[in-house]
Amino acid sequence: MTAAIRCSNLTKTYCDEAGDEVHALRSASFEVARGETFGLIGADGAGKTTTFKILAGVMDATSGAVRILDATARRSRSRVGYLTQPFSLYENLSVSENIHYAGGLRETPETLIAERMARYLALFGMAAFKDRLTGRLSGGMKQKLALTCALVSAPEVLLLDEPTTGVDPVSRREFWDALGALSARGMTLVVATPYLDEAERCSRVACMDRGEILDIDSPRGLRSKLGLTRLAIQTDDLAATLRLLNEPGSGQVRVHDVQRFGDFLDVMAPDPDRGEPALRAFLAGQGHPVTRCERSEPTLENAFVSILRERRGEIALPHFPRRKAAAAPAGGERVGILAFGLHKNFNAFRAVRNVSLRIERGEIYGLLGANGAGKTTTVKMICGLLAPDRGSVALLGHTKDLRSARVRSRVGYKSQKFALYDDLTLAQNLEFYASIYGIPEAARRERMAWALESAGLAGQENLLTGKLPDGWKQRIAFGAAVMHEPDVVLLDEPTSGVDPLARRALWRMIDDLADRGAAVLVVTHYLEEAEQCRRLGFMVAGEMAVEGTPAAIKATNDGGLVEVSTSEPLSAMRALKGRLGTEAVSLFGDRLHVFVPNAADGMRGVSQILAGAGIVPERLRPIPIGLEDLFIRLTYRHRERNREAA
Amino acid sequence: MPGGFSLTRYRALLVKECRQIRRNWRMIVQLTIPPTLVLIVIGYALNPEVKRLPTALVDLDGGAAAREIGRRLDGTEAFAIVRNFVSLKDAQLALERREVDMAVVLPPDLSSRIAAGRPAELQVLVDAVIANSAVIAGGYLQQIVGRYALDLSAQRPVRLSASAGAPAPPPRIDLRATALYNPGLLFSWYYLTGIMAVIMFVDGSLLASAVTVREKEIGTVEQLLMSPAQSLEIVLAKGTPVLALLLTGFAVSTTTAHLWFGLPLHGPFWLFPVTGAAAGLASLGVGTLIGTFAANQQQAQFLTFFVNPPMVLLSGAFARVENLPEAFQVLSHLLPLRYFVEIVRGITMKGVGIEFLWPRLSALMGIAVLVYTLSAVRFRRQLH
Repeated sequence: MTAAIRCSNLTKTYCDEAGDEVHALRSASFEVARGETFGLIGADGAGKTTTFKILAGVMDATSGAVRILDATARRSRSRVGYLTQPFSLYENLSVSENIHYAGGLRETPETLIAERMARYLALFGMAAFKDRLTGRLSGGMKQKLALTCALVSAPEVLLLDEPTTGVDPVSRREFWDALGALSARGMTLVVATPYLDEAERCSRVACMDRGEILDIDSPRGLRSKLGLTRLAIQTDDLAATLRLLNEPGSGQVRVHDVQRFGDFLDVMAPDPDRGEPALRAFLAGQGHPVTRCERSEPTLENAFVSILRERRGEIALPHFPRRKAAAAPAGGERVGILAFGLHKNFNAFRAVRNVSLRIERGEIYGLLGANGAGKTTTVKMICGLLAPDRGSVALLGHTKDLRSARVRSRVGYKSQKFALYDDLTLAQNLEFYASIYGIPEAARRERMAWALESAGLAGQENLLTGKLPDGWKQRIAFGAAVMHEPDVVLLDEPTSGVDPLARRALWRMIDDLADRGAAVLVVTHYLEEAEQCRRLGFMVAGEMAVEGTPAAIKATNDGGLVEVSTSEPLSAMRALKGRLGTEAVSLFGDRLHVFVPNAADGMRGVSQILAGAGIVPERLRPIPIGLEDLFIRLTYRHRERNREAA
Repeated sequence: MPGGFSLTRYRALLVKECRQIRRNWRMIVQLTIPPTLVLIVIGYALNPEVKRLPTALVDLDGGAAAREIGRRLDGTEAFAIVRNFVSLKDAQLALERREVDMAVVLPPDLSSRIAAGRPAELQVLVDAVIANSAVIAGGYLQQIVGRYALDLSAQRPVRLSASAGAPAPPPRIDLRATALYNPGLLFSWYYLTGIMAVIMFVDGSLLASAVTVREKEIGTVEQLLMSPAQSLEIVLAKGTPVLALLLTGFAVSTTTAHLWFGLPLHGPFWLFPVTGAAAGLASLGVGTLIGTFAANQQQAQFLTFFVNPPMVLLSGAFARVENLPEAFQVLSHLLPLRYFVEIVRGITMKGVGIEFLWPRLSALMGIAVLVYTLSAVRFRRQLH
């Protein structure tokens, strides 16, 4: 195979508005073969968008060379499709008008536009929406429309800059299935994504950080290079165990990347056969014996985190300068958030229907759901930003005066968008929030220093906030929101745009808040992170569909997941989708994940279907089901029910 | 309002707003330079000096009174009698050919009416092209004729005997002519004061809606509303620096109008900052209200464009309220700008007593407090 893209020593340096030099890209080299799906992974500010702009020929590199399809980037522009972030769609044009516009710009003949439009809209399940106004499409459909616009000129190379950011898991999976179909036809894809579970679907990925490419390999290669095994351990006291494992003196047991999930600790061990007994012995000796231990393969995220950690070292979190003693809350204050029978309609749209929540202090509760499921509306009602049509809310036992300064000063809130003022410096932002929340002058400096240090921005207090990449803003905004030691914490998508290493640091801080007795509510559609909550609620179409601990939710489901490795993934996918339904099958590079309603005889069913289609799989094996799979199932089941009702 | 007003939080909010405004120096420039320029330009544009306006005298009367008026007109700086006619038709023809800009028609019975002590009317034909100058010329004419009438009634015997001796003594009339005040100046003062008031109002509402909407656009408004800060604290803190800027602007424009165009400042002086603040508050309230309804800057600007011009038209800033249909005259009592315009004219060009100012000042303050409170309540509810 010949290379579709060849980049050598790409460097991009520019001056920002204030005249400071920014190194967006430092000597990046990579090759992408024809037909390959190449992933760029990294947090905000890693250099992904700069790379795309150079590849697309809309920006010149400061130095280095780019060849695309054996020509310069500018020359080959007509053969390259570029899906920008945000999408360049016109909200007040219809689907078909947008597609015609995109095709017309690239001088695609009218007949070809019509033909391709029909083909791709059918492929993406959007044939019925040809005349729909773009502004009226859901996020997932907009995404597929943007893809169709990029495809209408039949590019040989497709560049996709974070196409799935801000899109819910169901749409994300559908989108990747669409990409899988394109890749199977031989199209070369370069995709940037902050979601590492998605990146598993690429044939190779480049791990990027602060303008540099740290490693390039297949997801499998990166995982095996890591040479670690994942252990999920349970003990009688997870918080204490976590502290023990994170202590630098834990000596003889070498474990990495310890994360606290809802009801277990996720630990990476170098050699499971020797590591596991050592770990068991160590913890038993410390009085917290392991009650359960499960082994599994590391994920791409584990690999990326390890690469980042090697480079930057672990993020050391400063100790929070405490004022309040962590005393057990008394009486009515034991419940941090109590919501009962919340209803909210927006005109005819029933945004939230009969949602009740009870979050005790010390608990971390995850509220999940697709876009438009009613999560944010629910949180706004709990905050008092929105009045419910029906139902009641109590914060820390207070049912009245929820907006009074007395209650508010005990609540910490981080909104989904930017919580900080771009035109103020970091110190001025922190000072503002510190004084508005009434942190006494004496404690202010200490707290502000803590917030800066925990975001990895110590000494940068005079930096204008607008100059930070979004991911860094999120971290400092988190600090600003909890500096005043709130007893109730509401976090709306707290980790979007943050790299996995920093996300782990944020979660350690969230854990710390809960351990100190705060009731924490986290809204997210990042399901990997949802497992870190003690309890979860899934919202579907305004209703609470399922609630419970992550383990309990998984246990309610008797379905299972089967991984199929095959040389003919596309025909296998078609066969399986035909029998089990579209939502049951998703493509991960050369493998398929198949959801089976009954784990016990699922394997047999899948091999029978494949045999019926004349396909001999290389390997079939059951794999543990994730929350995301369950979530997608739930959403589909609900949609079906709605369709039947209609 | 749940919870009390906290000065500490207000100060924290205020510090933040001031810091943001300081970084946004464009706003300060926008607030001071263009209005001052507009003031100067308009002051000049509307201050045409009428000098030696080519005028035709149509003497249908032929008597002494007509001659006297003609002499007085010609004796001023304002008019130059370039043609004399005895028929209206000739005058109209001269106007059409633009040989003269104005024709003063002295009716056939002028002398006899004056002699009999009955009221007499002069007819004036003006080239409509010079509308502004025409108004000013009319002002001069009125003064000249008025003074003549006064002379007739008060000094008749003296004047008669004096005018009996020929030739006419022009110096006296010239002296009087220099004593005429320039109606053009009055005209421009009227507009200057109108503009001072309007600029303050429009700036205030635009700025207040901008700072309100900006918080929404960048998405920090939720964060702010979730903090212990109460909406009155937020709205007041947002308004304070803008109000300070508005008052500075008002001071600059008043000083400019005074020094440049001789606008008299009758006072009382303390009323300048007090009415300025009350009007500023009302305009901030209107702007904040608009800001809570708009989703972005563009919408806010459209809304202010929708609100401001009708308010300006109905407020009497440029057109007399008395000339409006009755329903609109009543409506104009609800407009804070109307009171502000009246007070500004009262304490500058007119010089009026406190009994004129009090009711207007209390109306303005009442409306300001009302609108401002309303905007604070809306600020809290804007997310619903």
